[in-house]
Amino acid sequence: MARRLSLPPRGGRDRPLTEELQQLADQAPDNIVALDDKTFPKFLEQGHEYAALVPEYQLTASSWRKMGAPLPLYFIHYDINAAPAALFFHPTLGPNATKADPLAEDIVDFIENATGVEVTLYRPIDWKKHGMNAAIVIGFLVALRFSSHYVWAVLSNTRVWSAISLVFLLIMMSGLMWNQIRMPPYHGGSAQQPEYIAPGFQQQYVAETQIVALLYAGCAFATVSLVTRVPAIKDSMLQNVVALVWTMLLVIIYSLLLRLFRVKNGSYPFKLLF
Amino acid sequence: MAGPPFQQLVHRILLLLLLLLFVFFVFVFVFLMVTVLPLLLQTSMGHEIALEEERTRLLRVVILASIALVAFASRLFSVIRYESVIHEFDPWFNYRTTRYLVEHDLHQFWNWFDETSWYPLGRIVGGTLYPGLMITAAAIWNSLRTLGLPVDIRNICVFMAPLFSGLCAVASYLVAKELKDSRAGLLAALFIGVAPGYISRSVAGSYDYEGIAIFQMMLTFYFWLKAVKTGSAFFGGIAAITYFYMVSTWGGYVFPINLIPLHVFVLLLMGRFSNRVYVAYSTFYAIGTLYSMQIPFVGFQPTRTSEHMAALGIFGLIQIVAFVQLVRSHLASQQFRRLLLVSVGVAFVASFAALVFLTMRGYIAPWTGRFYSLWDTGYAKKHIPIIASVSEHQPTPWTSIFFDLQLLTFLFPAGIYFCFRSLKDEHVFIVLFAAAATYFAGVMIRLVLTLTPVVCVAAAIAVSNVLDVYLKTPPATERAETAPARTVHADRPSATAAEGESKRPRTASLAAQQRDPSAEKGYIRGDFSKLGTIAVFAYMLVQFVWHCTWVTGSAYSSPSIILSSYTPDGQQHIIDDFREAYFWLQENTAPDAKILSWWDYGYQIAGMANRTVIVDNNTWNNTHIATVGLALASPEPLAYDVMRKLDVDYVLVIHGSVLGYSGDDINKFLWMIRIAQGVYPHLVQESDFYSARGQYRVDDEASKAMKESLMFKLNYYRVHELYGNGEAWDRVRQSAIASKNIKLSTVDEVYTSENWIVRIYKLKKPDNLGRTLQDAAAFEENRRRKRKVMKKY
Repeated sequence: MARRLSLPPRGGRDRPLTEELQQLADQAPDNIVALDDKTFPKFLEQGHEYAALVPEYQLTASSWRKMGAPLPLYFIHYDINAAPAALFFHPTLGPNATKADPLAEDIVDFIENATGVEVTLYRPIDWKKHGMNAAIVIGFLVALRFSSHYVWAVLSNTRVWSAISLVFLLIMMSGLMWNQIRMPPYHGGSAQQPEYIAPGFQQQYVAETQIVALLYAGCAFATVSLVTRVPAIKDSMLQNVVALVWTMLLVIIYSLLLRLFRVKNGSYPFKLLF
Repeated sequence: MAGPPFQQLVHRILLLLLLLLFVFFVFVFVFLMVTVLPLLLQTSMGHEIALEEERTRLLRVVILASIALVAFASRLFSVIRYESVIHEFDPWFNYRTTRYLVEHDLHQFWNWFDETSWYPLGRIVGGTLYPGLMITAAAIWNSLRTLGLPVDIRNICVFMAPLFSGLCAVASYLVAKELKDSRAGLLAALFIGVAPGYISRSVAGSYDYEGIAIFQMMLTFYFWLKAVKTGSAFFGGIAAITYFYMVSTWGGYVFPINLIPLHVFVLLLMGRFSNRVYVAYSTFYAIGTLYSMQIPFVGFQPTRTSEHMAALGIFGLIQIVAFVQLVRSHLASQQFRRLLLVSVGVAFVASFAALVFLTMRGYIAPWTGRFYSLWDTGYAKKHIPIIASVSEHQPTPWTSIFFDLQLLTFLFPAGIYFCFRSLKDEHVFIVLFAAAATYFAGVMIRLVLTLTPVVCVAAAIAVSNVLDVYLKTPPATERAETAPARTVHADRPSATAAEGESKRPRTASLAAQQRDPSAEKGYIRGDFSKLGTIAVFAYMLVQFVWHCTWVTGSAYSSPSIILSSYTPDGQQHIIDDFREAYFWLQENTAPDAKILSWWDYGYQIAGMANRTVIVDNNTWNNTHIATVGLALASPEPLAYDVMRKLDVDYVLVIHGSVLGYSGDDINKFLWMIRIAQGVYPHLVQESDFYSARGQYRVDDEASKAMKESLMFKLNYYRVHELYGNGEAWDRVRQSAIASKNIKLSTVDEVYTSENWIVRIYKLKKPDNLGRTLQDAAAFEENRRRKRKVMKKY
């Protein structure tokens, strides 16, 4: 099921079509014009200004009607099975052409932008959603009541907190917030030949940041091990070997890190091993 | 004026000095590692600590002083390469106000109404700035004058940030010493002295708040930790005074005033609330808040805005907790414990609800957009483009963090791990500091600055732990077995001050003591692994220092008002268009001329040309800025009307296409359009400025709105004449320019700088026959043509 919101062209060229749409809209019970295989091309393929797929469409339509429909604007829906996520026949007016699932608020924004008329949205209270939320909260509290002993044991454990903090620091240092804000792809290139390191100093892929976080973690772990694990070894020879292994590991991982940084910044002059 | 050869000589000498200092620094470092530290090493042996501290005091002072000197020296690249000049944008305002302060007195400074900025609105300068920086500079200037050293105020402003970076190294030493020992302290001082994350905002000439605020922040934290450890109201009060100093300097004081209450709250949740914490926080909050309200710009904000509510709430909460604890100590019973928990919980929930209620009713201002956008990262882009448009407000890719911290990036989590192992109250603070600062640094590039101190301290703890283990000589007997037990008391001089503590926290901290890595059993037996590990760390640290010097020299030492390029034979070529143009303005325009430019250049025009500007970098009035954006984005007739209404005399644009200077106005133009569209959506639409294929272009394919906009015309007017018969080429956007058909009817070109970076146009007077200027220009054009035709015959 696909539903569409339409805007008639401003010029007089499509006047008969507009009148026809008006009739259809008036006849429709919920103010939404239903299209079929014949009317779809008629209204949409000639007129090029027809627009988005609207999940919250009925709400917008009814709000529009409540306001007394200040402009000739029609809500249409069309019945096809394999509807694309968003159809945008609207190159000049649509600010959100790539958005997949617009909310009624977005549609209202869109209409406001396009027509210059302020639309008040009358959104009914979603009892189902509120009920679900309440049930989840109550369920959570009940579960907490019965498992409070274990929850307390976990919450009061320093190791748990140190693990959480360290993971947090590592992912933050390796650019998580950039990923959150800029939404880069997981990797570049193609599926056959993926590219994990983004070209450009100010760009990064998600995979790249994960690699960096792992390298940081490796270096930090080697450093910590040198301090905490090695001195506890009683055997002198074994201690030498283990210390050497951790040091070498540190050097190798850090060299990889520097190498990675040189890939990002060609003129960077420092390196360790390679 | 000194001639170029003399200047070159001075530069050579300074460069040599810098090099010497660097070498000296490396020596000091090696010396520190090899000699001093083993001496400090026996510190885990009970009473010997005091003795050792005494014995190495002089050495530590010398090392610390040389680190401060290195911190100072490594920030002088820009002075050596260019000259002692104020950098960038905001420092020009700070410099201008400082000059005003030393020329007038403090009283006049507070009441200063500046009518030359934000024309025609003006700005109450005294009430809308943080005066700490200017007052500090003026105080130094005055005291030097009293000593008989009349130094130019500009030089004081230029060297202010390096000076305070040296002091910041000392403050970081103190903080790290509170957390571990003086070895960690020295390393922390070293790291913060050279870390590019801090140098980026504190090179010589960068006369800005951050340069000295980080020092103030670290000092506040030091006294706060001291207060928490000792429970002394004295240290709480000192922390409050340093906090006041920071409030007077930088809007970033919101960070410590939320972090310190968070520390108290977490200690409370961990069951570590004690009389020490109570005394420390109560004195700190009460005195600090009262003091901070003395700054006119802050005023009653501590009681009226959401940014300060956490501090206030925690202050109330600990009063309740302390009261309940007092009552409990008189009425010990099982039920009471439950009652206590419930009443504290109820008080917490009730005060939170009251806060929400008051915020909704408007008694408490919600988080301002600037701070709110740190939580809701999409907010600024949608609602306050003026914040989102600034490049240092962009999120931070991992490369930037690594560039600024290099080796420290991974030593930092290791150091935090060691903090967890000996989790005393002060370590909790560092962990919270680390978590908050990494988040903020990820959201905004400029906030890597607040991350750097905690990274340096934590990394110093990590490295000093490594040194502790790998420089320790094994004990001859099994003395190490008994050592930890004695450490507990000796290592904690504050143990006596903790009399009032309940049993639980003390046993907890006792347990934490025993897990302290320095008191741990075991040591390194083989010299081979000792030598190897120490050598690796030494090499990496030296490379880190090298990295820092390289980054500082190559990336962070450009004054941005003077540019430089290198000729093919390696000669440095100085591009001084900005100062040239501002000097032209000063010499050739009426003293009350009003200059319209994009807000970025407002402070510079006011500071260097001494002329009235419409908008400047203090972006307090979005509508006014949008009006300027409207003028620049509109076609000439509308732009002329807007500018006439603003009483503008000259328009100044920054044009990079000839030289390839990428920070020019055409690159900023999209943001101007967006900001203008936010206020005047019916006049400016961003989509109109993209070409038919949706691209931002300046060649023949550029959209009509783009080609007709004032900004486009002023930038590319007559550029094609540079290229003879060839096509005009834009070296920034790497494309051709639709320059040929540009005709101006409302403005006259009056000045273009040597490399075309700054272009200044003068507004024409309205036509005396009442025609529009377009008509008048068209008429003139026709008449000229006719006259030519007539001459022919």
